[in-house]
Amino acid sequence: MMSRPGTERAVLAGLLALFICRAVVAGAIVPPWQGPDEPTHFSLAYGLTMPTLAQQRVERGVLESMVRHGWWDLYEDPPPDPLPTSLTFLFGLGPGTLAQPLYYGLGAAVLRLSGPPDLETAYVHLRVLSVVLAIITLAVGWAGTRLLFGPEIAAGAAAIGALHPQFLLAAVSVNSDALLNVCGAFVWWQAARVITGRQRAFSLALLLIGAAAALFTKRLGTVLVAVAATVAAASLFTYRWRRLERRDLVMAGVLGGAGAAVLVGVTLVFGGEVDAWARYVGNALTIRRPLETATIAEAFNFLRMTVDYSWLIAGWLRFEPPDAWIWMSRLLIIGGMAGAAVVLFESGADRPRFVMAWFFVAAQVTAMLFAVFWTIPSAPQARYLFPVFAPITVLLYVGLKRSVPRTFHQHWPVALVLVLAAMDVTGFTTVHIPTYIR
Amino acid sequence: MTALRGWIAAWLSAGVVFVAALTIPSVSLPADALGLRRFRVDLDSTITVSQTFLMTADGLEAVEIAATAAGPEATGTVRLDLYDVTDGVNFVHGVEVPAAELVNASVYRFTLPPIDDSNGQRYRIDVRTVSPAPAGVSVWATKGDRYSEGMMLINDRERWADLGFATFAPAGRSSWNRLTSPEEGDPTRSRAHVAIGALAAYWAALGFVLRFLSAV
Repeated sequence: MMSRPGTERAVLAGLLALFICRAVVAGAIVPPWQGPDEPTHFSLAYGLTMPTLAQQRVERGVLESMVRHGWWDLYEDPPPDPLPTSLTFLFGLGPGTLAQPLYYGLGAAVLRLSGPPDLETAYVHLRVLSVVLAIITLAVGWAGTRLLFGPEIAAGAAAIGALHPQFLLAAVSVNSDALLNVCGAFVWWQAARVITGRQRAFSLALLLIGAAAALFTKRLGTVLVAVAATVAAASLFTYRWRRLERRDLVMAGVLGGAGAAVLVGVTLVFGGEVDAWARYVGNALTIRRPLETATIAEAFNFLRMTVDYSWLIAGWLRFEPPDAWIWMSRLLIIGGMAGAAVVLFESGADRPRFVMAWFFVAAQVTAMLFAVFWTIPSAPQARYLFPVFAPITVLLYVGLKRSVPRTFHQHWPVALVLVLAAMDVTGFTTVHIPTYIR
Repeated sequence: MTALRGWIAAWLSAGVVFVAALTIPSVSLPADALGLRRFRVDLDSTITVSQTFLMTADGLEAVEIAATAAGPEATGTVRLDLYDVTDGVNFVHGVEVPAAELVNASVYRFTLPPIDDSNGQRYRIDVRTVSPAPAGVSVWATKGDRYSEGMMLINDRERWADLGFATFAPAGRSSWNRLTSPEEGDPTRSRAHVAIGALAAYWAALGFVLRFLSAV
């Protein structure tokens, strides 16, 4: 299937072009500050480009821009009068911290290069950065999937990614999620290289570097560290433990020593920042809700939200599509995942690869539910799963394909893209356009 | 060749979906366009014509009724009142209109201050006479249960008919209408045209993807 490299490249290029068109549509319709916690993330990145005193004006400028773009109107509330001087006075705004500096450093570097004349132009530039990072996420995810499962599944999974409405919303948001998603796709790609034996030692090092980058981008990146460590350990156990050679031991020693030296150096030079980072990450592990207060009904509600919020919900979990649309997305998600479970048991030689995909997804879902239920009470959101977006799309593609009759498999990729595009455009016309263009 | 035809059919189908999604409003607002079995109800000092309806969106801002001249000259005054009858009968808004103005066009638009939380509320519009009693003016209705969430009443008695009416709220506008004519002062106004162009490019890119996927 799809053996010609030219065809593969054309499909990938077409899907990325499709995604760019959708990003332009979304960027034109969705006003600034409608992505989750955008004001905080933007202020931190933009603030890094100016002297400390000027940074104090950034948050005030963001608040004024929020008024101009109807942020409070969409809550059917008047803007606060007088307008606060700091974002910390806004209830429900998620925090960002320079203790996890990678995204903010990257954003600031981009802004220094692009030199926006004002705050709202800077916002647009960072939005474009997010779109570019999303394109990288899709391309890198495709590369990993292709190594593991071949060109057809890679194209199908990439099609789901390129037409996923919630991923698009994440892609037009100024948020550190954008970089975390790249890290997740990179870890997936390197894990694929490790288990398919492509420059295994080098890929292993890149795998761990990608996971470390995730850790310094967002707390949720901790999951990628655990996943990468597990893949690395499994790889060593499977392929090396009987055949360990002297050079492997030397390389492991050098890598370990270099890593330890970097850690010691960073701790000595940036002691305060490291403490802040450790407190911030540790804070996400604090149980704020004892298990005995949880109920079965609540558990089902969380599961429902996990499914319902996976395909499309706009404006900080406020604007949902119509019921029929939601039922369609439930069908896709539950049907896809059920089919993927069947494929896992039916798969022969490919089983370790499917196990890896399931492991990525299960680890991330478990971490998300743990965090939003016990430690940082909130609601499940698709963006928390996007660090493992590539394996999710793989499971959905193979699972949905398994759910349709074999005689239809020849037409399956085209049919799936058609259904996804129809859902996508109706998502625009039933959610985004009525909400944001009055 | 079959695959080639397949992708073209899929692409054209996607185009139809795009057009339908853009032109059909996401919410169907209560209304009853006049049907074949239409009839006129002449307004005089003894008649109050009402229509109930269940609102399907927030922001109810107007109700149109179909009125017509019943004689050479329409005289007198007609009163239009809107009540929220969800829980009891609560007056919402009313207006007195010269009969001549009511029949000036095929429909009369009864504009009211937008009701923010109108979704799910049941309303009743009354068309009745005030002094001086009107003459030469009628409203149109259609026999049958064409609008299922409400009914027409004459002097508070239910009739097997529905008044010719339409309701208006922002949610009733199609996406195409919003993109091509956003409201004054809407900050997305200038970007709406970019969205239209990008949607066209989206459809073109979709064709490209389908073309090559069909070669799988």
